[in-house]
Amino acid sequence: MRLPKLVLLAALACALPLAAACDSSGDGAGSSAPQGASGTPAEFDGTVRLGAALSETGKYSVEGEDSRQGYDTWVRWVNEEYGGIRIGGARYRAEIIYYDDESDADTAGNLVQRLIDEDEVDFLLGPYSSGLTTGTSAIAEANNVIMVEGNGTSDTMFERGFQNLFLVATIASDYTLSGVEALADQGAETAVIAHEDTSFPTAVAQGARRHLEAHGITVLATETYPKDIQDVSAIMTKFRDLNPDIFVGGGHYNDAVLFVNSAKELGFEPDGMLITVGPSNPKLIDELGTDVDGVLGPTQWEATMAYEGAYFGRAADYAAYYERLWDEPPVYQAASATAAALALHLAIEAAGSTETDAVRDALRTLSADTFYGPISFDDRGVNDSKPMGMVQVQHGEIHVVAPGSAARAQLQYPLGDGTGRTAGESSAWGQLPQALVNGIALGGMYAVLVLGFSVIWGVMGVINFAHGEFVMIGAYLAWLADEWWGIDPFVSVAAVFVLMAALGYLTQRGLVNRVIDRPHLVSLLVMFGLAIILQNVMKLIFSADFRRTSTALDGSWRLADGLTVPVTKFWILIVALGVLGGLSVLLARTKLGKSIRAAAQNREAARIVGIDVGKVYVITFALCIGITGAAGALVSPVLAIQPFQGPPLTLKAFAITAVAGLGSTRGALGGAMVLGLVEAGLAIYVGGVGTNLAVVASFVILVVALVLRPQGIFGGLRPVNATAT
Amino acid sequence: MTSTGGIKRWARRLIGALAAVGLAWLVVLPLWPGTSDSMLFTMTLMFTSIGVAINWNLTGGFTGYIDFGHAVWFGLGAYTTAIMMSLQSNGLGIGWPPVPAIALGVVVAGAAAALIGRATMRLKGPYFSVAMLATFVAMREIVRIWGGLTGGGVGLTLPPYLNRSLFYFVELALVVVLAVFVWWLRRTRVGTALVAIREDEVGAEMRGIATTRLKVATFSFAGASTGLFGGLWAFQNTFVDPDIAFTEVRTLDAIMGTMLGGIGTVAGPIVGSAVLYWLREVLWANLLDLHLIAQGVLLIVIVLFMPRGLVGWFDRRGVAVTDLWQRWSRAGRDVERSDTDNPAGDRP
Repeated sequence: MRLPKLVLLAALACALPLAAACDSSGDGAGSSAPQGASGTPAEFDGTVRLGAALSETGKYSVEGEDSRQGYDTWVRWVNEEYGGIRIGGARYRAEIIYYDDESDADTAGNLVQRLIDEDEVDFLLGPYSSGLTTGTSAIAEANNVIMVEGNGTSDTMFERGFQNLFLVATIASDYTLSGVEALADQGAETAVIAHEDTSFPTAVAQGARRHLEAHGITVLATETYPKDIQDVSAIMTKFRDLNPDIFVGGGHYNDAVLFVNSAKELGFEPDGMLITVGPSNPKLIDELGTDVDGVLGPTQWEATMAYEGAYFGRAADYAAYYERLWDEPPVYQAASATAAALALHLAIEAAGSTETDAVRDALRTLSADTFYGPISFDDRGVNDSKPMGMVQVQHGEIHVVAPGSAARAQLQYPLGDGTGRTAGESSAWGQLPQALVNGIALGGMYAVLVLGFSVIWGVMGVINFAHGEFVMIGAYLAWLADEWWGIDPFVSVAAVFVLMAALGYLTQRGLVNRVIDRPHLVSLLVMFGLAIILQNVMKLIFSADFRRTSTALDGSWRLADGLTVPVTKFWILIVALGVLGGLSVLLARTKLGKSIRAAAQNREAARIVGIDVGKVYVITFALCIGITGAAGALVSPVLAIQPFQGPPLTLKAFAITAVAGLGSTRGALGGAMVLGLVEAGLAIYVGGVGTNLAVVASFVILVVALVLRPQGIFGGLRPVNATAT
Repeated sequence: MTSTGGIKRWARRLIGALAAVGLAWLVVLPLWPGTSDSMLFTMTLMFTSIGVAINWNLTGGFTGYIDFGHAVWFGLGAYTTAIMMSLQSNGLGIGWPPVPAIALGVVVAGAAAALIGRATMRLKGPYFSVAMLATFVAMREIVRIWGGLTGGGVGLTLPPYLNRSLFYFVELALVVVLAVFVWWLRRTRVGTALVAIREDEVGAEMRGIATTRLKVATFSFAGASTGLFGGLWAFQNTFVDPDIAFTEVRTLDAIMGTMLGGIGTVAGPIVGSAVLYWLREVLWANLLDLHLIAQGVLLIVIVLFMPRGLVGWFDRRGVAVTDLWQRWSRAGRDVERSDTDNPAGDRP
């Protein structure tokens, strides 16, 4: 008797959201009418309705906004300047319905389905990113709706034989083609490749490898690295010893910064550096100054290119129109979006209809010159007539150097005096000193980063799952000091300590006190919730852009040809040792330290002998958050600052602490050093995927160490006991 | 058992009738002419998150092992399915049809869960949680590095086969079967034993319960079942790459849904996930960037002030319907009241 009721009850619960979904979908369509398309004076004979899922939130929110502005530029232009799409003798108003896909694959798929079914759009425009385009294009294909896009370029989605997917941009595997051709002409013979192991950079790198080999350039090594990498020194060390003519690398903007800095630090000087994402962005020059001179990068489009079309005029005219609308110059993602909509527009007019079959045929046979470059589609639906542009940073300015049809400046090659170094020693022993130096430098950073986490856990039994977020906030404070007053992070660290200690005090009073006596699940989830809040609050304030502070203590000391010491990390290590030593003395020698240790060992007994345990906890928490924030300030010149940098740091802190002892200062230092050396060793000695392995090393160490030795390896303020609750 | 007064019986019948209408509606929905594919798709995604939450609750709620890496089984199921179905395009042989490919995904996820569970379930409390989180992150990197088989960072594309009604019915049936199974399991001695593990593992062991075998078996079942949802998801998404198949959000949603509904109850993950999904569709879509902040706040509020979730909250109101909730959620004839109190240890 009960059984059916359970099922029914569950069914009721499920049915609830459906009703809501029905309501909301209606509202959604109304509320997301294009902002740009209203208030047109002309009388139209009808409407051509387009739809796009774009990322207003999540990791692609910046590029999603650029794409949206690109689409809206076309909508504004076609309705206000051009007078509507011409079909037969009639004029049609263009309308685009947008939804926010939250940068999430499921959401994007769902919204594209909704655009097709409920909004009944005539055509689809692409979302931002290859991953989202791959998923949504399958839905468009299954429903026989055409999708034209400019910002999803990975090759895989064009190998599925889809009939309804069209890309106006250059496909990922051809990103480096113009650059490779130009460099081969200059006589380059050897190359190395490093790329992020996600979808788009991998496709670019695989294409680069193919083009390099086709042009007779030998690829000496390929290295991959995970997303959000913070240290590429191992990769650059290996490459330095191979002494190639060309370096090809990239993934995200921040990687470009890392590569240029790390090459300089380690004395790696190839004749040409081609970085796939970053060089076309003026921000890179602001950030790196003259260090970035000579670096090459691909670009889909630049306002300075010599392209011209019947609509929008020259590239520069388009840029001017765009800037009038949005008060900022167009990035290539925006231009690609406009071009996608324009290609569709041209095909509709050529077909004289909005029927899918007719427009598809028109797209197939389209051949047009536009502000964006020539557009025509091959069998896959890829624009095969627009070559990728190549820019080079020359004396602090971005110049288009390839292909010839769009170039405005001469390629500079080779960089520097062109003599190059002789190939260094690449034996395992020869690399050992550098591996040790890298490892100890990394260990020093980890030591100062882990300390606060370790002591809070040891003394209070609270696992601070928001640890990485406090590091991040400290780093942002240092960045503000640098940005507003130009204060060096090694100076502002004192103020950051004080501010963060105050924040720690408030957090302890407001939140942590409530969970201190509760089971682990409660404190874990509460701190986890706090972490989510802090990440997203910081994202609202600072955006998801990567930031970095600059310090006077930068550069490197070259001790030998194959051995350099990074200066910033050396000073971080010195400060870390100072903080560790200071904290050890505090805990061992002072009255406060004795109280802290007593409270950690036995709270009740401590209370009985007259220690105000509550006060001890407040002081400990404030002190530790102060140290944690200060650590964030210290590492801010080295680790890029962004709102979501915290979780990996928290996990590493957990791994080091659980293995090395809760609240043990010596354990924290030892554990951090071991992890640093293991990571540096893996990264240097394992070919190809060493840097990937280094990233997972801490997790493997953690699981293995806990399973094999659940009682911990070193003693601490509180015993590790992983098998007892 | 609380008394069953006239009003309560009436209320129970009302809820029963409403629920019957609800389920009937869910069954006939795809046949309704006004129903669009996008509505079915929305519902299917919701069924997926409910299914994963039910599985998470099996270990997290019943045995008290809070798994921070549950999405790893989802990813394994998705990837196994994708690998087997796309063998041809990878030049590794003939691609499998969907059903055996998904079935193999279930086996792989279940076997991996049994293997990893044997090691990690020796750990307790936060150590287990973080060990599972580490397993999740490590598995994602392994999939990335093992490019020959998995397509590496580029991922794999599957033949697009998008029959929304089919997916809808399959997942609806799965969720119903799973919910009934868990409800039944909770009433058996095995279910009681699982809760005993949560309350006092040493004590349970002393009473003769083979705790290790039982909890690993449960963990493995939950892994296999989540792998099934993962395989179906890969099939209908037509594309996997490491970042979308292994996403922390899935674990977070399962935890949030279960906590919201009532951890350690049978109905909790179903009600909680459905409400969470509804909240997301209706409210948070308008909050944009604020919705993740709202989610964090909600998590803290639930944990601190509503540790027994919606199910428990109804319960405490003393409303007639709550008797029903209580019986469904507790479902224990011979189990003491205390043992289904939230494992976080809060007493009302």
